[in-house]
Amino acid sequence: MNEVHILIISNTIDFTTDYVCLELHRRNANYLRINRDEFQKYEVFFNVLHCSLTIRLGDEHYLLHPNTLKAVYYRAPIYLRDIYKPNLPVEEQLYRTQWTAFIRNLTVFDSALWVNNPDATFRAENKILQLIVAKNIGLPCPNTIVTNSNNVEIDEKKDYIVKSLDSAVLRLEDKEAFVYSNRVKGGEIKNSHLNLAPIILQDYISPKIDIRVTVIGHTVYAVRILKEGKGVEGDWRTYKSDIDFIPFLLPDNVSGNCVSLVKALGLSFGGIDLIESDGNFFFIEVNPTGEWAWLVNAANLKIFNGICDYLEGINV
Amino acid sequence: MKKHLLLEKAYVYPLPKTTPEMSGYKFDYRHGYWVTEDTGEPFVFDKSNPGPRSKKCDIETGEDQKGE
Repeated sequence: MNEVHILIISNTIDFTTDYVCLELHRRNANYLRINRDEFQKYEVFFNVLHCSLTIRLGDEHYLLHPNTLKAVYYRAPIYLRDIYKPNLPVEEQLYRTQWTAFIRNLTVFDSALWVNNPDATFRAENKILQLIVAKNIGLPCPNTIVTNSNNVEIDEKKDYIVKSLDSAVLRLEDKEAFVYSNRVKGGEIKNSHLNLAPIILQDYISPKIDIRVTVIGHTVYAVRILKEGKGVEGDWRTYKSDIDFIPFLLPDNVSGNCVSLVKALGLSFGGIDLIESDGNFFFIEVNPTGEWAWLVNAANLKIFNGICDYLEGINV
Repeated sequence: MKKHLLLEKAYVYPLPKTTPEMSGYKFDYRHGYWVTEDTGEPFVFDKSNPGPRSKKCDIETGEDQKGE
C-alpha cells in the first residue's frame, strides 16, 4: 500500500502538471496524480466514517488519510458551465457530474494544504471582490465601473478598457470566440448596446507595461511582458509571437501586497495581472487557476520548484 | 438590432483542437507524466513538442479550469 502525502488532481493532457510530477519524482516525494478524464481506470473506495480513501490503479494501491495527506494540487474545474448539452450521451453526463462532485468532496481532507481549495477559488474569482480586496490591502486599482447602462458617466473622448465580468468563451457554430480586454473610446461605449449583460469598464492606463506575477505561498515570480522591448498596447494575449517575458524583482511593498492579496482571498496560489505605469503598479486581476507553465521556457522561471516547495510544506 | 459591445469586440477563431497528438508518447501512471516511448525522456523536455503557451493560444485549459 502506497501512502500518499501529496495528491494531484489533474487531467492527462494537462502538461503543466507534468512539470510538478517530474520535480516531485526527483525529490522522492510520496505523491499520486489522478486524471479526471480516466477515472474509469481507477477503483475508488472512500470509507466515509474513517475518512479514508483507497485508490487502486492496476496492481498499485494508494491510501489517502487525514493523518498522512499533506497537500492537494487541485487542477480541475470548480463547476461545470454547461452540464446539459443535447448531444452529450447520458453516460458522459453522468460521468462528468458525479466525478466533479467526487473530487469536490475531497475537500473533507481539510487539514491538507490545498492549491487551491475549490471553495476559495469559487469566491476569489469574483472580480469586484478582487478589486475591493486589492484596494484595501494597498494595491492601487484603476477606476472601475460595472454596468449595463449607456447612461454611465464617462468622458466620450477618453479611452477605456472594456472587458467581461466572467471569462467569455463563446461557441459560434463551427467557430469559437473569446472576449479579450478591449481599448474603446468613451463615445463608442455611450452609443453601444449594453443592457443585455454587464461589462467591466476601467480607466485606460497609458503608458503601460503588463506584469504577470505568480504567487505560491510566500514565493513570488514576476515578469514584464514586452514586445520589441516596450510595453504592449491593448491586450498582450492577442499577440501570438514576438512577446518577451522578462523576469524581474518587484518592489518589496508590491511583492508583499501580492502575497497578502492571495492569502486574503483564501488562496495559496494566484496568477496576478498588474500594470506598471510611470513607476506605479496597478492591480488588474488575479486568476486562482492561472497558468504558469509557459513561463518555464519563455522566462526560465522554475515555478514548479515553488509549487513543489509549497506542496511539501516549505515557504507556506 | 445592434450586438452587445462585448460580442462586437469578441475575437473569433476556428474551433481549437481539444486533444493533442500524442503518438510516440505514453503516460507513465506511476510517476504522473508523459514520456517518449523510445527513450523514456519526459515529454515536456522533448524539444520537438511545441510546449505550453499562454492562455487562449493553445489547447491548455488551465485558465478556464474554473469551469468547463
